[in-house]
Amino acid sequence: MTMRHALVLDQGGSFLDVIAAPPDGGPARIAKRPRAEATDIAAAIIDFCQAEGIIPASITIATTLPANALLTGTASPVALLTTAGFEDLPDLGRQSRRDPDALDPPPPTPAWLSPPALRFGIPGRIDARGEEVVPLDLSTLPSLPAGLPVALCLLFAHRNPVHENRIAARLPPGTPLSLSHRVDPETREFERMLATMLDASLKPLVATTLAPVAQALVAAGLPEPRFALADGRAATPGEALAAPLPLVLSGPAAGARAVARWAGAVPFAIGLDMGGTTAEVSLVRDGAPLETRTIRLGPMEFRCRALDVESIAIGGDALTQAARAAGWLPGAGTADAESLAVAEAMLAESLRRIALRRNIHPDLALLVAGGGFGPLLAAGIAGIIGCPRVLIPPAPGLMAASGLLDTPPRLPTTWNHRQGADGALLLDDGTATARVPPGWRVTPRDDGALLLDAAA
Amino acid sequence: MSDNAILRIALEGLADRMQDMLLAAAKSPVAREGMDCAAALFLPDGRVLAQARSLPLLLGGMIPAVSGILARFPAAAMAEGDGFLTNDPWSGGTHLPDIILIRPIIAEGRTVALAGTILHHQDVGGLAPGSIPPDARDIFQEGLRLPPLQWRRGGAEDAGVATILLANTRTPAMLRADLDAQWAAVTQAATEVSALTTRIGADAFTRRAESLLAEARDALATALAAIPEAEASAEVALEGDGITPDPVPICATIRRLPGPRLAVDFAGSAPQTAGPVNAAPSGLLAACFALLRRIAPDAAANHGLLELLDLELPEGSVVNPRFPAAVNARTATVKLATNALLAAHAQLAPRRARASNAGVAVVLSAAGTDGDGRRWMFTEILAGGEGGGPDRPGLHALSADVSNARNLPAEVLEEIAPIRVEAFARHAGSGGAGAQPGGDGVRRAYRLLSGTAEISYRGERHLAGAPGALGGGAGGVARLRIIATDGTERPFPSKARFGWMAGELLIIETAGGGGWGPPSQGDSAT
Repeated sequence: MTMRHALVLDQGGSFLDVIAAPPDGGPARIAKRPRAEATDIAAAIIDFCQAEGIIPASITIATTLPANALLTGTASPVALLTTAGFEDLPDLGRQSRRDPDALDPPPPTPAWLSPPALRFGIPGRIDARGEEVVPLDLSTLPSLPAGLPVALCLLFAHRNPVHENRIAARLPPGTPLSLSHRVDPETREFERMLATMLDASLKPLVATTLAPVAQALVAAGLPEPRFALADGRAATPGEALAAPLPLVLSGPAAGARAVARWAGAVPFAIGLDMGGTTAEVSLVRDGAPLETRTIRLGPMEFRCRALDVESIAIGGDALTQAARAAGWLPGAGTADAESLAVAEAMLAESLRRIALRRNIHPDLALLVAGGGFGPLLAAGIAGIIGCPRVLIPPAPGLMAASGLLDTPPRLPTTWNHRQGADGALLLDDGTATARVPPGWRVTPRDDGALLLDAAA
Repeated sequence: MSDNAILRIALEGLADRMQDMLLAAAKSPVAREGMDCAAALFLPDGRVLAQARSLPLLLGGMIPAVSGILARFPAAAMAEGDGFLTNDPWSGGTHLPDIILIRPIIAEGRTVALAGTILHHQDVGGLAPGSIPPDARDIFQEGLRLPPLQWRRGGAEDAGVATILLANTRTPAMLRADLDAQWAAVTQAATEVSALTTRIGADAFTRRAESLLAEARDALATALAAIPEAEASAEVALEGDGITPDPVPICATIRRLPGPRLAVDFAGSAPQTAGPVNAAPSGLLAACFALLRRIAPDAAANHGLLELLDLELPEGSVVNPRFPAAVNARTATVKLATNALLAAHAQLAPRRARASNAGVAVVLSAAGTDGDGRRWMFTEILAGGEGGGPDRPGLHALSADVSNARNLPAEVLEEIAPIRVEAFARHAGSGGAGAQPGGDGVRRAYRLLSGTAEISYRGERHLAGAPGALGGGAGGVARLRIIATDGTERPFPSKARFGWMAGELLIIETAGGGGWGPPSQGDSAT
């Protein structure tokens, strides 16, 4: 009988990575495909299972779609129903600036998210003890355009959701709806309102893009997938549809989980997961990835539990030509190799800033580098920031995907060596190329990982 | 990247984490929600080394207070676990609710740095709850004054000092918790910087720190060199001092000197006032620091910037009052002085500056007793609108330039006090008209549900709005009133202390920002 594998898929900015790990701890099967050639996640999984001849026992998916929709403002605008008198709250926020030196602070709520014409105040009031002090007046409920997602955030709903529940019951069936007491049952009305609006804005996207993935997989006889979340957990399709906000940054969170596993018992580690589009930086203290209660995504800042990952807008796609020109990657390149040094310096400065701000000093930390491009730049960056040791996991190009598995997979890896023109040693395992510059010593481990140590 | 740059990032990161600790542990709403607190690191001689990204008004204001403490307690004599505090405006402090606490950081047997925090405490006594009486006539009516004194010795608290502190506040539990939050933050800083100096050596730490200051100074010099050697002035006026309604002018002149250096002179500003709008010099230093940051935004925010500043504050004036002036309502003075400085700078370095922001932050202290005899108190800070600019309209309700206070969420306020916030909205139409309109102020309506209360209100811009720029209209003015249960309305001026009865509705509307550029045809002026 076929073994029932745990299958994971990580849809990044440039690639779609798949790992299927057998339950007996045997070697995992992997695939890495350009995202542009595999826009249909379900088809990619079905094709992979047919090609490999497996029927997975479980499927876990991480995707950049929700985060991209929020970053680009292509998620849906929402209708806001709130306590009468608080309709302007999206414009008022907390009135402070995240960076007091910035001359051009962003508005507290992105303009696309909450058009003023779609904000409605409903009379009725719950007080701080959770008691109804003004009855709800349902006669004022507006009729809303069909299909438009609705964010419902009433004062003190986290203490007593009765008014939110009664309004919800009056909305037309099928209305995409987010209730603040479910999305973010915490005090401080603006923070709860923003999280609720963002959650609602993602519902149409999840319904039209992710729910069909689940349906297609089930129709193909495969198990219902789970969708990875920003805090490292995963949700069923039903749960994801009901509460999509935690879907943002699921891939980076999976990367952070993988980094923490590979860091093992060292006191401090910095994770660099650099794919084609962005580089994700995570931090590990005493074996556990750092966590946060606030997600920062572009100009937005909102309340959501997550692993603490910062994204840098430098990716490998823009550097591939330069890496070829420098002889770091095979093939002829057209770009100036100098841009690699620039990218290394910029990433190094970002890594150092991110780590030091969390009191992790790079010279005391292990750098764990993965993603399709991370291993190529890791030693150069480590040299700049003073990290004495770099760990490159086996199949580093699929590091984030491996973090989606509940148990670390065994990744079959053969490192092919060649000597670079500049005296560096280049090791390629088909998912990524690790570069060992002069002055660094490489030690392959039994598990397929590479340890790079700076010469004393 | 140089060792200096690494130290800068590490220390700025540490200052931010100190700030986070203050916000997480503080109990009084004005600190915890309003973010009226700040953290910074100093060299043993009092020069500031790194600051948290928090509240410029307090960050700049902490600098002279550290010097004030050092004048009484030299750093060389400080020992591990010592803690020193002050709130004295004549020892470098701001106003009495802001207590500055410093702790030495000891390495290799000597003080290599000082960790400092400043926090607006809920109440330090005086004639009105919240210790910001708008009608105070001298410092003694404003609360307990603490000249620099030693609060902790080797980690242990001085029982006498603690007893006096807690006996002179209406909210001892909050003061205790907030002071502990300050101590926890400076203690964390001491731990981290000690660990750092153990690794790199105390001498290297000091050397790199000096380099950071020199780099900031040099960066400012480069930026100043781009400004022509000339002089510019701007004048603003407060709408009364809290006792009389006469305008209180504030004149700022900035002069780009050879060197290059920058002279800032407040000559021509009003004599010190009977009421509490006097600002101790620390506040004006904060305003100047904001200007220097604007001139050299990429320079590190450290004392190197101040090396090129000549600041003249006429003695006995509203910007440098003599003892025992009342000083609690300094916020509007410092905010408007900042507006004047930025306006003068815009003349010398004409670029596409925004129109004036509302130039004021309303500070409101409310205290009362509910129907069951339970006492309550809170202080909150409300912003006005941002000015319109060449690129976009002004934002609504923004804590601009030297201020960065957060508002008090209704869900937190109603937990503290028997109040229902019936509206928190844009002050519609208060943004100045323009090609790019100014941002609106806020409209906040509070119903007192039981018992009685007393309000201390410190506002500004009740009479004249924030000016527009390049043909833009002025912002709308602020307004304060109470609507009684029978519908009668009681308006109040920009500084007021008054009673509030159960059932009455208190409505505050803050000022809007100025508009930028002439409004297009058909736009209605506000």
